[in-house]
Amino acid sequence: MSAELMGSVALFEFVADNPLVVMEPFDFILDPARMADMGQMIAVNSAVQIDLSGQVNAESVNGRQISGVGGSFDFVRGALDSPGGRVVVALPSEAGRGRFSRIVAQLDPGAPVSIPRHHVQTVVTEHGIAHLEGLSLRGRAEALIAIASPDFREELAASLPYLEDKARVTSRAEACP
Amino acid sequence: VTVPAKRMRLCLVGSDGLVLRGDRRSPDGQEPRGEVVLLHGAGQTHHSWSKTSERLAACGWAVTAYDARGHGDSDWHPEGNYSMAALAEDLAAVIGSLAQRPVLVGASMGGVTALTALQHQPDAALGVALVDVVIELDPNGVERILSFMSAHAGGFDSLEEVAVAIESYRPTRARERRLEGLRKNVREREDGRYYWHWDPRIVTGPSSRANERRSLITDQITIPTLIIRGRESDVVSPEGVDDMLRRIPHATSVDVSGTGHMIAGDDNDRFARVLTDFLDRLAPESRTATDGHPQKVGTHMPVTMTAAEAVGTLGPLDHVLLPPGCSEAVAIQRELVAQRDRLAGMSIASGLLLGDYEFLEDAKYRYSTWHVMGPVRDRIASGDVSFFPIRASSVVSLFTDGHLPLDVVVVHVSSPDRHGFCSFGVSASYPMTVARVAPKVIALVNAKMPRVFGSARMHVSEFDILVEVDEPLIEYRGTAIDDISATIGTRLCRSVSAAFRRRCSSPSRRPAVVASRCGGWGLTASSHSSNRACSGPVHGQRS
Repeated sequence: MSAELMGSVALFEFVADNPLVVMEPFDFILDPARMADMGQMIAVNSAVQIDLSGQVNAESVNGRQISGVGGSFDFVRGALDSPGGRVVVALPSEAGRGRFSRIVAQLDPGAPVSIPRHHVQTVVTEHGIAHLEGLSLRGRAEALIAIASPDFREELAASLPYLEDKARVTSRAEACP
Repeated sequence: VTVPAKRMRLCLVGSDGLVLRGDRRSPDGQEPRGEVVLLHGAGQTHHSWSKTSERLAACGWAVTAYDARGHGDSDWHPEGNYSMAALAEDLAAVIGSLAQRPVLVGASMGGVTALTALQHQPDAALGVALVDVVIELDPNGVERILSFMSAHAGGFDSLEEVAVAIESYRPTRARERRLEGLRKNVREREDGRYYWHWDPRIVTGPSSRANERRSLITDQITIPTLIIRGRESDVVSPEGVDDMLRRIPHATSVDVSGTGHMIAGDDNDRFARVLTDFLDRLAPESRTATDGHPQKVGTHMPVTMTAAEAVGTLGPLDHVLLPPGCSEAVAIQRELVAQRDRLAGMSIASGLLLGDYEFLEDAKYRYSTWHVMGPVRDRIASGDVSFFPIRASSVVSLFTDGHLPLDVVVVHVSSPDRHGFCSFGVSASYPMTVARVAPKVIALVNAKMPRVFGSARMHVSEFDILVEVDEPLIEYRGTAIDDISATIGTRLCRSVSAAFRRRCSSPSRRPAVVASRCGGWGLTASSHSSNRACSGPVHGQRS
């Protein structure tokens, strides 16, 4: 079920007269009450960057608007209200062919917070999964550094005074699933 | 469906035995759908309704329009009684002469006349449309009307002078070139000079009429009520409309863009559209379905045009909403580019587009969006494009709640099925919901748009213009799933199913994975099979 489909001719042919696919307008698809009723609603959104406390910027690079918030937050809201639901942010750990970390000490100046940190439950990168629920600021930072690109972990750990215990951060990264 | 209409001169006797003159148009050779009475404003005559009554008669309505007492061809009252009560009694006499209860359509003073008549007899009409009039009028706008009406009491030397006087009141409209047409507004007296057609005593009694208006009681009005306001009106403010909606809570209101106090004269196309929608709801025309053809309903029979002609119906003052994503209206946008010099200044809004946004070149159009793609990033940074930082769920209300003006919605739909329904195919998000409230809908009917299940479909009779094409949809060209994205997807799926096994007591319930687009990264659920969807629901493409 969707409000908007984008793809190639193969997709257009697949959906034509296909009872497995249902298209409904925004007011139906994005209705949080309906998502909550479904249960087990898992909202997967990507991000431009996420800071060590879990704030997500999904819209801008260097203060420049590159996208909109779209339906992402509507799904976040539905997932939060859905029993067994989950708010997931999935993103590669690096950008610019490895020149930048997407997990950052601080968001870019002027970057909007597309998903606030108290709404983010799970973060996934190619290096692992961080579950932020029940974690303090320090715990969140450690969990997020653990799934950052190994090239940036040290720099990230150095950015916060209370993360001086580098060994602890590193051991956590090794234990990562 | 246009029906031939006949027209006859009308001579009625009003409340004090005054003779009221006007005309009546009705469908020729068939029973009318119902009666409509058109009431003009102060200083006008029934001729101000001529286009409107022609249109309504063509839609099957019997239309009566007459000159109010003291105006045009109707008698002047010997003692100068032009109170609202007297005008309302005239209206009651006119209603009494009709075969059935009419719908009342009153502009300005005509609207107050209708409300005054309904105060005494709330069920005298089927419905009432108030054309740029409420109870609390803007005193400055009223003053402008009165000073226009009271100037030139000494008459005019020539029709040219009359044209200049009218232009000074309505500076945004071109001066009347056909001077002979102005003879309807003046009377040539024996001294060879031209005088306004109205009794000057109308202007001297307005303060008591204003008091009558303010003391109107509307509690008894339960019939359908529509308030039509000219968006540029200096007589009716949005606060005036709000006040009216508090007095008549079941009333609805519509703003007509590009019009002032004289809505029907300023843009009769838009006015007629709003009015016929209201009338259709009061007396729906019987639907006749013919086998194999779309239903054609009431005044909504769409006209088939080329894309060039459809865009040719737009004007620089219009606000146009375009469909997003793979339903991008390529054929319409091509014409927007071709006709951009003529349409310079027109406002366009849309969600994300997959093409190159060529219509933005030369900065002819104003463009608003809530989703950003490569070609508009610079223009948002420079402020040339308006960006709305809103959630997808708020897009519809941007238009339906009137935050952004809206004149035309372009939709991109499949060919009609044998019942006349067109599917929105790959794009159900906002176009249909907004089209349902739009003054005008241009449908790009594309044989290549797939017909898809769900409620996202509209009937051809809901469209105004059909543009039929057989063109490939624009495709979204994402990059292939790279190793990193595949790893992320696999981890995510494993985690979700582990959590699912831990938490879910009922094994029959499967978790719902929903991917949405944001952050310049496309998260696209695989459309091929449920296995693939789980092995890699996440693949990212830089957009």
